[in-house]
Amino acid sequence: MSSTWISRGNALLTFVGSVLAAMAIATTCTDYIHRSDPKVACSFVGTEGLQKEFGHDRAHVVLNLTADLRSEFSWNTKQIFVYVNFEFKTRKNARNQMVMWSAILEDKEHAYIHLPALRAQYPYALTDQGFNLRGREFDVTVAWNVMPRVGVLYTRKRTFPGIGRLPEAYLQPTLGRVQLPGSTEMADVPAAAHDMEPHYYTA
Amino acid sequence: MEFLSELGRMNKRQMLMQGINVGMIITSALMIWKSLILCTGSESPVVVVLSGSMEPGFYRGDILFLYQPKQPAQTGDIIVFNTDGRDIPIVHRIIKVHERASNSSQLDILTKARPGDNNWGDDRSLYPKGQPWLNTGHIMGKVVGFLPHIGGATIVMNDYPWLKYALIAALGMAVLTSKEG
Repeated sequence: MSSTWISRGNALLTFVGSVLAAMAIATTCTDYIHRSDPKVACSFVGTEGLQKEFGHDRAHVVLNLTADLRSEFSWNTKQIFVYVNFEFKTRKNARNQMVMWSAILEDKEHAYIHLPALRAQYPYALTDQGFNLRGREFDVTVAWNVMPRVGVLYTRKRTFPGIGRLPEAYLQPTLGRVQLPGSTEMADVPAAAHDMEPHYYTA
Repeated sequence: MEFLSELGRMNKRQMLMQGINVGMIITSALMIWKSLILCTGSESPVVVVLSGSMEPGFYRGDILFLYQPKQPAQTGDIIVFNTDGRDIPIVHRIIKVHERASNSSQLDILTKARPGDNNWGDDRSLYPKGQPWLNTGHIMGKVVGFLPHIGGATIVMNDYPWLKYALIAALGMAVLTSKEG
């Protein structure tokens, strides 16, 4: 008596499990046929500061970023983690890669990003492992990690190689005052509160 | 008590068969797990999220699939790492990588719990004293797949260990006394 109920329960659970597994696999497969057309533009606004500190150089860089990731959302997309990488090479390190800004986009309506004065999100975001940042050329990569409701995670990116060069001399950081690329000229780039906000969009 | 009387009714041959049956189940589970380790290159290819430090991406009880890619670690990767002197692996994102020019497998890696939020504390406070960076050896795998909620049972069993033993005992009994064997 009891063993028939156990075997019935077992059969039911196995069936439910295999149906769910098949549906999960089918769902994640639909992401491969999802067509998207993300648009990313990024430029170097200027350097807000370049410091020599105990043990390392530290840079304060301002970028202009526009990214339209709305088409990346499929029905299986839970959220998109978008981040801006600052990358440079030194004699010591073949790859110095650091996230200067990132945001979690939870729906399509918030996936248009326009940040004309993007600054590093945390104070020690842009550092070298030495004193090699003066006159250093750098790349910027805008990448987004698509996180599904179920299934496979994937990352796509757009690289802007040699987007800018840091100043030849150290520069005392002053918030809102930026040295323009390729010159010693200074310009005002005011720091608004929303520049630091992860979510700042105009749709 | 019904189970015990059933056990008593078996002869030696049947007992042996049941024992072999239990062994088959255990070894095939072990074989599947070890093959997964072999295919993914990760020492623990399937993990359950035990903390809320990656919300709203991953919640407690979600299942993550890990893979050890050939390509060296990149910023933005979600990794599971184990620092020296800590039992519980941690699931966080990489925010900094320094790759040595002389040896491309020597990496200095820094992670963070909830990038995207405006908290700016990185994971240095979680690393052992005097260890400012993670290295390749600390990484158990990169998160490549996600399955929500299914690990909830593990969380419950972790919180109430007696439930785990009760379940194992019940399953063992069911297998031992099943007729098909």
